[in-house]
Amino acid sequence: MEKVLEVKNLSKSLSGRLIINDVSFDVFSGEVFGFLGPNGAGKSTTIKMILGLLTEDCGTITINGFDHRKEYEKSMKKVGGIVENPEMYENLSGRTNIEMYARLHEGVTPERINEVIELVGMTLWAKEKVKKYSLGMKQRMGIAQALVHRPNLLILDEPTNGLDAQGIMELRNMLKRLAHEEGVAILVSSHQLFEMEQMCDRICIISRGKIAAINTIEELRALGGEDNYLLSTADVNRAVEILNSAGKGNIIKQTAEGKLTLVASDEEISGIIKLLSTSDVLITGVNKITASLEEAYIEILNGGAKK
Amino acid sequence: MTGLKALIHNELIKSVKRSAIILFIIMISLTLILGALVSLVFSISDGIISDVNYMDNIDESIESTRELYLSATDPADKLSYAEQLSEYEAQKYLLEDEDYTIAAYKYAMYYDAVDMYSSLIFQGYYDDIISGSGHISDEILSEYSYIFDIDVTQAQVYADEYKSIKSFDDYIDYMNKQINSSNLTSDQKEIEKRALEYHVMIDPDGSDIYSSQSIEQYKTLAYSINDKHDYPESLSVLSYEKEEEYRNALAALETSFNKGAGVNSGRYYGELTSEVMLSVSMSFTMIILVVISGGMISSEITSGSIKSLVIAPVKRYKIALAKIITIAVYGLGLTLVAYLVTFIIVSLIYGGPSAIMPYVTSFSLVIPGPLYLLIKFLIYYFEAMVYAMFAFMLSVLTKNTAISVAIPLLIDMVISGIGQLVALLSGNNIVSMVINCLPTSHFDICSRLFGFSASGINITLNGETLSGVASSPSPVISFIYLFVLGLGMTLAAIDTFRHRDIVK
Repeated sequence: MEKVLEVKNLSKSLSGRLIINDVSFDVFSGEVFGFLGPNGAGKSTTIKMILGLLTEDCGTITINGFDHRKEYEKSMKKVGGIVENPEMYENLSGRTNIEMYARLHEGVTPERINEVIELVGMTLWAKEKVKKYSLGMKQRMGIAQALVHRPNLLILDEPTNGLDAQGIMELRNMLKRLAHEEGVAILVSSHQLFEMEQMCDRICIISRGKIAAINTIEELRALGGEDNYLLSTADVNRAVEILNSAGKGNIIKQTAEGKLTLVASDEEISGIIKLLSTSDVLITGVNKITASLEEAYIEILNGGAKK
Repeated sequence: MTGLKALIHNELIKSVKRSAIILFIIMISLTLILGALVSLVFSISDGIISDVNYMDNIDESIESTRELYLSATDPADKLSYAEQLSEYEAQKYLLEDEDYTIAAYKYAMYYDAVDMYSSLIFQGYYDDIISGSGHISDEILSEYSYIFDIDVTQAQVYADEYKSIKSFDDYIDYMNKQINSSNLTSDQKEIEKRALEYHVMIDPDGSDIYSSQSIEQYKTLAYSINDKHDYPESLSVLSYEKEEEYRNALAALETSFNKGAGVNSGRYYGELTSEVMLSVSMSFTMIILVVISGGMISSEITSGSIKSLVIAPVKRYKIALAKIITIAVYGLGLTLVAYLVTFIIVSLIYGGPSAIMPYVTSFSLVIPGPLYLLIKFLIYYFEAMVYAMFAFMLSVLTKNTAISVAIPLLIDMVISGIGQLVALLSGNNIVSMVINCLPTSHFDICSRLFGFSASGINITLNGETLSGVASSPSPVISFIYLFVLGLGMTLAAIDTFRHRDIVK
């Protein structure tokens, strides 16, 4: 995996307040990198600095090996992005907007423009003026624009805003395909954990302008704890007794009227069910409770876990 | 300059806005209406105002000058009053007669009479100097007073002869015959023939009664050098220094004839009309440019569309530069349209494209007419660009379109308001007020640079000179000042845009 974006010790103050404090991270080709954090954590500010909309106070941004400050034109050559809402020229058609954007890049053919418009399913609307578009349509056109010059780094700030459930699913699949099949490095920001979990390979959690953690989804899940199983049985006391006598009392997490919560892996739990049923404990139901990513997230935000 | 061309291409697509197109249409139609209106006013005023008002004035002038002439004791004063008096009387003859051809002949005859009269007075003056009295005797004056009586019958004969001339060739033949049958020396005939050639050159259709003044000027200088007599000033023998001076003046006059600049021609109203039309259309050009450039950065920042520009792999300064170049291209296009419309209309109304050429009353025009038009074009264009760059700079600094458009327009209004105030205070009439109200007329850089009126602000109408805003003491300095101002604002805009955070 090739390092496409390298952010090092980035800091930025706005009106005397430190918004971004010593942020460093890398994004590699072929991965969807999530930028997760509550509102006002500094996600957008960091993205705006990477895209050249804000100037950094200190730190370096390197894209495809080119220093952002020294070789801006070269560094931005293969970058596509949408910041906040995809703003286009309202009085012009979606296609004209993309054509204008394409003109600023090398080697974009009219066929390629058709291709990206079709990719986002906007072929029917491409010749309409942008002011007639809904937010979701603008978002789709914005993504088409960001992709038109075949960038190897795609930066999307809250890309699911305004998209319906189907649109979100399509976007998710498209981004995954771009990353995993075409090797594009994708940086996506969101404040929605669920969305990030579905989309990203790695997640960077940012809080109050600082990086709190950078983990893969699996690592994050692990931080949230092991999976739990909820056993329903009429005879809780006997079940506890059997487990204790079998030397497995340590897996009992919680007991309640008719319910028993166990911490165990998938392999362990089948043995336990077998043990209990052979001991004539009637099990009326088994529910797996996935370890909460949310827990891990909240814990990291509160300064608990580190990368 | 990779990317710059694409950026300019995009800017041209973006800035074609409905508001700008409407303004453009208003500009063209207003220019056309005003041009037609002004030429109508001039054609009426030429017949009515000058005849009625001017005649009142000229009777008064004749009366007062006659009194001054009679009461004057100093011979030099007496002479200058006599000259003035004969000039006024000649003009009166000219204006009283509706037939310009006859009037022109009367005027020409009168001019001859005035010349003779003046020289006789001079003669008398010198006689008296010699006799020691220092006064011109009444006998001498009365002796030559017959010269005032114009032979109207003879003028009619000349007029009929003149009217029988149907073509250029007829005219040249007629004049050559006159010259050949005269009792001039061969050198003098040569001067007359050359003067005739120049006359045909600057006034080919004989419609311009004023062109004879320039020709007279030419002949006076040529005769002075030829006869070694100082005709324009003292009638005494021409000094070496004076001869040098007259030779230079003659050369300058010949240059201006040869370079095709109008000299004392009837193009006067044509140029004035074109000035009014250009003032209006250039004011609109300025407004359109300010509206476009005032919103160029700020509206894109407000709408957020600037983001897709900044994300593209082009340097910031190129984005600003592309916008400035687009404004400059628009400005050039609009100025060209303004000139073209004016040129066509003035040509149609006043007959022929030469009507737009400058009207010059002295020897000062030593640059060719087309070059003069080009300089004027650039000054107009440059002035509009200064305002546009000001709006552009404000657009970058304030990120607010309304402020960026309003402030330059407000400043322009204040400046022309001052011009109006000056015109009011200096007691000028409504015409100068109207001209000064036109937003772009106040700079009048051309007259400051070249010493003659190019903008039509300092015009003489009905014997009264209408002056515009008090001119700057140093035209060169004010020109440099404007240039530096425009450039400074452009650079400030680019530099601010380069380093500024585009979004919060």
